[in-house]
Amino acid sequence: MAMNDTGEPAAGFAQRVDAMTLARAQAGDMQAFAALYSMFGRPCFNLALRILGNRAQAEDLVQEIFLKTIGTIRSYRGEAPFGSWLKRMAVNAVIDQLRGQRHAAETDSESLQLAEAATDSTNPAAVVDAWSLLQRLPARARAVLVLHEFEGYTHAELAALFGQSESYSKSILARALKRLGELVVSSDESMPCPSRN
Amino acid sequence: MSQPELSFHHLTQRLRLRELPVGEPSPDLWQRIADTHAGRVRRARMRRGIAGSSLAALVLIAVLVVPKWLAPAATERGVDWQARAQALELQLRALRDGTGAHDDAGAVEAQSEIARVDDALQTAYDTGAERDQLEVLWKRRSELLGALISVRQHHVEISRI
Repeated sequence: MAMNDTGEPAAGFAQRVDAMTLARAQAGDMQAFAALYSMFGRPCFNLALRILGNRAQAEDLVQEIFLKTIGTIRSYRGEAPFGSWLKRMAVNAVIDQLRGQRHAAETDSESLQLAEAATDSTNPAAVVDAWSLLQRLPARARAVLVLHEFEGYTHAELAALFGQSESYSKSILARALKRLGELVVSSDESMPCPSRN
Repeated sequence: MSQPELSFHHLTQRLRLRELPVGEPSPDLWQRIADTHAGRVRRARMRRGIAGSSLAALVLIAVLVVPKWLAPAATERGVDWQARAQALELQLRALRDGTGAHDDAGAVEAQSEIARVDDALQTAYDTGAERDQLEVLWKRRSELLGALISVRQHHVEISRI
């Protein structure tokens, strides 16, 4: 199993690929690509699923990412770890997907407010479920949140990815976090309190 | 009353966001990817094959047909019948000066025919005839001069014997 710098098993995009596998993949060996998929298919899928919120779309995107990897791996020169190279490709693919979506415009403030208003905070079934709460955020807000808080992207990097300013990224993130906080509180209020029973 | 704001740290703890990843892709996803790639490779090969066949056909056509198109032009360019006739004229004159022999009936007839061709050439130039028509006449004149030279050369040989 690949290890990270601290000797612990590496996970996700931080996994290291041995040179032989990379060389075989660059020579077009599909078994080597299968090995790369077994390492990075899941991280790609989870990244796509967290942001897109739809399994079928996420799988389509993983397929697109790996087909592109097969087509472009010869251009990989090893300046960065392969996982970072692949992650950048995956993030770009997700952002492209968001740009193409009909609801891409829901990143602006009005759309975020519409999403907030549409949430039924009095629903007793609204348990604290991180996944379902994330899905209540607009797609781009969710993307900014996931990429910043989970994948470690800076606001400068996010600004470049989305073709916007850093203040845009900060603003979207702040609103997304505020909205998540509100959802958590409303979920707490809607749940029965055991201490009172 | 305003709702309390939660930090992301609090949120991650409260929502256990770090545990979010949410599942595995379908077990057959890699096979779908590999199949799609194989299909693309097949289609690309087919396109290359079609393009290669088309190119080969074009090359074949070029090899077989183009020389035939160019051949007549090359022939026309290759033989300058006017220049050839003029060269033969000089050769004939040299033969006549060298032997001083009288022409026989055949040679006289050839000379008459050459005179008719000269008239036709003059008329052709006067009327602005096409190059092809002029070429025909110059070719005819060359042939007659060649025949006349042959007759005279034969006559020289007989005289020497």
